[in-house]
Amino acid sequence: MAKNHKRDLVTAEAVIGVAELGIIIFGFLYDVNDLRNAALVSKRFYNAAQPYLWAAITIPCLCMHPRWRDQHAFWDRFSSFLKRNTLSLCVDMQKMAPNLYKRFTAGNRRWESHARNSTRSVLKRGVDELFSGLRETLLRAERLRSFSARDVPRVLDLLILLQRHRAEIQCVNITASKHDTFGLLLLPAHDAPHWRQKVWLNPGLTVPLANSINLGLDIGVAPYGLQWDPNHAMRSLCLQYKRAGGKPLGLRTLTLGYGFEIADNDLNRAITPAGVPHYLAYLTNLKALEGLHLESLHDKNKSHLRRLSDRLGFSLISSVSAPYARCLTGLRKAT
Amino acid sequence: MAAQPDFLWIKNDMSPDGRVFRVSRQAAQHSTILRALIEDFEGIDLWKKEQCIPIKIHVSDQCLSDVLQWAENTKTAPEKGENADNNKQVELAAEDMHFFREAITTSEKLYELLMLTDYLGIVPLYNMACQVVVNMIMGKSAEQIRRMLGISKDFTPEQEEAIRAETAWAYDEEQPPLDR
Repeated sequence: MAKNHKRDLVTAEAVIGVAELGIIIFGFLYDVNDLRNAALVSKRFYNAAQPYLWAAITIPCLCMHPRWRDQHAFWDRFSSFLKRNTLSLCVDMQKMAPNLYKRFTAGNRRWESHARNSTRSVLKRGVDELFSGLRETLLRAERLRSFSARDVPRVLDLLILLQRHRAEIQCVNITASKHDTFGLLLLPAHDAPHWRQKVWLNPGLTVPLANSINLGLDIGVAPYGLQWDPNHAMRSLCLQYKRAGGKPLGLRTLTLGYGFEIADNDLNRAITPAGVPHYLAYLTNLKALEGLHLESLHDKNKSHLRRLSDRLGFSLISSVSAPYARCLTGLRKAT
Repeated sequence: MAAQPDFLWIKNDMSPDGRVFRVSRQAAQHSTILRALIEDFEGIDLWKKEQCIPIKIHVSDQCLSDVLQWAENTKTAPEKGENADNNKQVELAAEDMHFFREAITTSEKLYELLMLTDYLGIVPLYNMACQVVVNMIMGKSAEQIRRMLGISKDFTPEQEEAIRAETAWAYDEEQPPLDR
């Protein structure tokens, strides 16, 4: 009798089926395809493999997937897995939302103002929905310790999202999109010290904005409810970027939209080789800058623009500090 | 105080004849369970044959004998408080490869070994056995794994499809997501 029992017990299925054993054994499987295949062997194998399948995931898509017959969004459909098992989350725009990715990068070597562009508004809605989905996912992934993102626009928004909802995270690795035409947003200064202490100084955190070629900044693409100080936004962004240890980017074009104007007073400071650098130099290497676009200056009166143009032209754009800058869109339109 | 004997006794309680095995003090150090017993009951009658330690899981005498032999032959037992990490990829040394080739000739024996090493807390051998199981599974399809291990499929087609849907990120090359 005992012998028969033994024969029944000691099989691969039985061993994997012992919860503790199965979980330990599958802990040795590192390849997600191996784990997936193992999960499809039998119910016992599935139970053992499941925690590992959900431990480190790349989000397939946030809303609809051909394999999901119901209409539930990713975070709702897999809420229990996210809650229980997910330690590491990867967001790759090209895999998760390839169409949106293509549209916000297609042909746009230069940031364009969204305000007068309906396509831009549709795209903005798409990106806002993406952020809303990421927020819901982050809220559910209570055990999240590691987050990585590739080609997600508005990378500082992404950091703010992580900071707000998963401040306990230990490792963040974000690769900025080369053609992030949506632009960055400010890190809120009041939370920054806490965030930096927890994450920013962690060697696991990398925000290689240096990949960026074009950068557009505009309050119009900010999500609702963002606290904003339009008078000092640009200066604040540059100084915070510097304080956070960011090295000057190698942007080819920088577009400053509504809310990110260079404050007039700042333009009075001439930039000379011996002088104090303009705060923009903290954000990007002005010597590499080919185009600075000031999108919202059309709202200002013409004389004011001329004044700005002169000052910019002599102090910032035409000076030795930005020798290759050729384009000054906003001013050209008005003058 | 008289020196303690150098052997303790283990009985396979679930085998029909209840065979008893002798284990040296040194070999017992490989097992976290036996090591703890020795520490807790050093001064008591632990070393007498009539006080043998029962094994209460279904494993064969041969498996128990093989494991204890491995422990006798493996000189470097982990220090107290030191355990090999679980879930780390394990590389098998030449003598361990030899052990698996000679003693673990069937899947059934391998799974017995897993059960027994887990029961006795012989972590290094347990990890090696896990790695051997994993090596068997790696790179194989679900169907190949089933065939190799003699497992029957107990999913309905709907259940299988549900699992595939759950793990959709692993299928990203097959079907792109629908985004707008």
